[in-house]
Amino acid sequence: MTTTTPPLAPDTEVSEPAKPSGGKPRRGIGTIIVRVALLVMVLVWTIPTIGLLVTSGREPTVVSNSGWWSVLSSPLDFTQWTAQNYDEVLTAQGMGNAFLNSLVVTIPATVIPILVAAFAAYAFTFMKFPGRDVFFIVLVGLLVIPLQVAFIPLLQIFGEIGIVGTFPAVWLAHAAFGMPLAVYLLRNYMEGLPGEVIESAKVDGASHFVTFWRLIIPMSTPALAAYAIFQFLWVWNDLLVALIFLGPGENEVVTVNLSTLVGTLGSDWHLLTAAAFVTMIVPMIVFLSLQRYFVRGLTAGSVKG
Amino acid sequence: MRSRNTLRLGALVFAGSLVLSGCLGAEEGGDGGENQSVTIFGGITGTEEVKLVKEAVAEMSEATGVDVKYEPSRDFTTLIRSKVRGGDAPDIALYPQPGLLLDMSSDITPLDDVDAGLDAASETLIPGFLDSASKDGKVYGAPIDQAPKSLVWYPKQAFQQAGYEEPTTHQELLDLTDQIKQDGEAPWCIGLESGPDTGWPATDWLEDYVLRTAGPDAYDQWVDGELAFSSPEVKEAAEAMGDVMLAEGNVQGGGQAIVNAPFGESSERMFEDPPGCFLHRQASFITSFFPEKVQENLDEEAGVFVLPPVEDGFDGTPILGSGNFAALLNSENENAVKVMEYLISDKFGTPRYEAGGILSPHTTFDTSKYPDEVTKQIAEQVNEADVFRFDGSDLMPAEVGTGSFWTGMVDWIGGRKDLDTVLTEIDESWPSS
Repeated sequence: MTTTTPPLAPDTEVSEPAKPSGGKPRRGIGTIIVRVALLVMVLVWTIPTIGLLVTSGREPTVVSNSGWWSVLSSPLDFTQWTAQNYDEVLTAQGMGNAFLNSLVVTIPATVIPILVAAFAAYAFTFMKFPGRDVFFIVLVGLLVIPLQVAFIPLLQIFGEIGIVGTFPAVWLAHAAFGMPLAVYLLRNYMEGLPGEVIESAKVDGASHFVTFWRLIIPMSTPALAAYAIFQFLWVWNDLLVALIFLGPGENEVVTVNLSTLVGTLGSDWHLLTAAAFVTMIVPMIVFLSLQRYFVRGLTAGSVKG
Repeated sequence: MRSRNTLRLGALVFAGSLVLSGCLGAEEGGDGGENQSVTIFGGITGTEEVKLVKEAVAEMSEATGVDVKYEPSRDFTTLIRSKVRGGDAPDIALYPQPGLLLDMSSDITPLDDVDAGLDAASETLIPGFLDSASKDGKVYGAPIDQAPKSLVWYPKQAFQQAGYEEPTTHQELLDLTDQIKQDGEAPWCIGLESGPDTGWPATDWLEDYVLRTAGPDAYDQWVDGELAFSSPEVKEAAEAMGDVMLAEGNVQGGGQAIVNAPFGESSERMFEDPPGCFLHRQASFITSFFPEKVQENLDEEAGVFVLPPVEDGFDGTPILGSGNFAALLNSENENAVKVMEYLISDKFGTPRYEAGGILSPHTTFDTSKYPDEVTKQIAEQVNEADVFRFDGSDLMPAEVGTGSFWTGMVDWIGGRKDLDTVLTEIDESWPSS
């Protein structure tokens, strides 16, 4: 849930300076309204996260007796803070293994769809073949199919091949369902690349393969990175797919491990607050290190579509 | 240049993860034959609880010489179905609800068909337990633990200081309630909130009262769907329960507060100073929700008695309980059968029982191993009980047992609907066939 907040912030940042430059230079009441609206948005979006952060550092008994905002009156009273929740989460059984599994799941599940989608997007943009547009429309149409409806058939197919409970099952599921958006995003981006470059490459005798690897991929980095962030966040935060196709046990990922911290009857739920921040670390690193591509990639892809 | 390096790095990581997963996969498929390991999948979660289960499992591994793994999930109920359907079934599953177990009986090997010591177990188990997991004369699962539910807890110190006494009949319970009210205190603490499972504590109340007013035979018919919720028997039980729960002043804040109070935390108020209430009806596992200082000194701080029988109702003391049932999903794994035999015998689970809160389902379990007098007392009362019945909502079809029964009770107690409407609606939601 919290990961939906970061994408908003840069997005709004971009649109904000764009507005005054487009209209008259006067900074009137309009700007103030925009600023206030932005401020309200930012507050509304971050307050739950702040509440979560505050709660994660409080004693469980205190959490059940008073709201997190009650610390605001005396935030410097250090006796009320505790690292106990974090300690319990980080030392939970199988946590290290689960972290490793999460990486083993997430990285291929991000790389596979990007790679395949880049091939497909190239073909849809630069190669001419009969039925190209129909294929593209069908593929993009698949965007509307939610992963959930495919669980049972997928389970049966995976069961038949015997890969349920192993990593390839999750890779395939995530890759397949990430594909329509990836193809759509990348094709729209590639359409906007200067046609002259590709043509001159062709004149020089470059094959499709060479054009793709030497020209298109380097030029598409912003779009690729933007999609990589998206896919990485989805897969990393996913509980449902991992739970059904991997399940608990040796191959469990972080989200699955964390969900078992809560007791059978719902005791120890306060551990989830700390757990949320522990899982957030990796996506945060990925997002912050790639975010400059993110803004560029998204706007580039969308405007030129 | 930069992007190419990034690409290379990406490819490297990808290849690396492929190799890594290959290793993990090989490890998994590697064993087989004689030394085949056994996986147990269950719904017992939580740091502490899982630790205890794993200790118990380790004991079992040592005794049987089989490598056993316990895999917990909070979503056991949904996952077990998808796992079985996807061909990834565990060797043994621990079902928290016998109703679900019997639903899946076509995937389960009956214990009668394998050499898993069913006869020995049925002699030591509390009578009535195996019936809840039997269908068409075959036993599909056996309990590995139990949590008796017909218990009323009270804060011992304050209770005795005020001069109250444990009631032995329903009338005495109502009198005690009135007495506490006259002393200017709230008698009961009741909470129904439990996240997505909100309402289950109220179903236990009703089950307890059906057992007490209409008796075990009517209870069985009710659970099987032969006796309607709107029948006079069940309605009478609900009214008896309403006398305790809903009478003016019995619970602080009334029905609305009952519905909104988290079931675990509602018990804590008993141990405030002065007590927020004096009585709390809940299963044995509620002790893990008591404040820490109470848990450390349970015998001094907490008292417990069995919810008393109702006059003119069933003649005797019935006990309602719940527990996890082990079922054998993969009988081809010979080691799984071996593990099953140990699992359902009175030998399994000692580390869990020593921690308190849950009890052994076997009458032969050495009660001196329980951590405190309170637990020993509960164990004795269960062993002496005239009738044992399993939690009915766990036996009813899921649409009712984990659906309309919960929401119906919440609607009624919260004051949104009257009793008759609620009971009729639950009847209507009972699946036909």
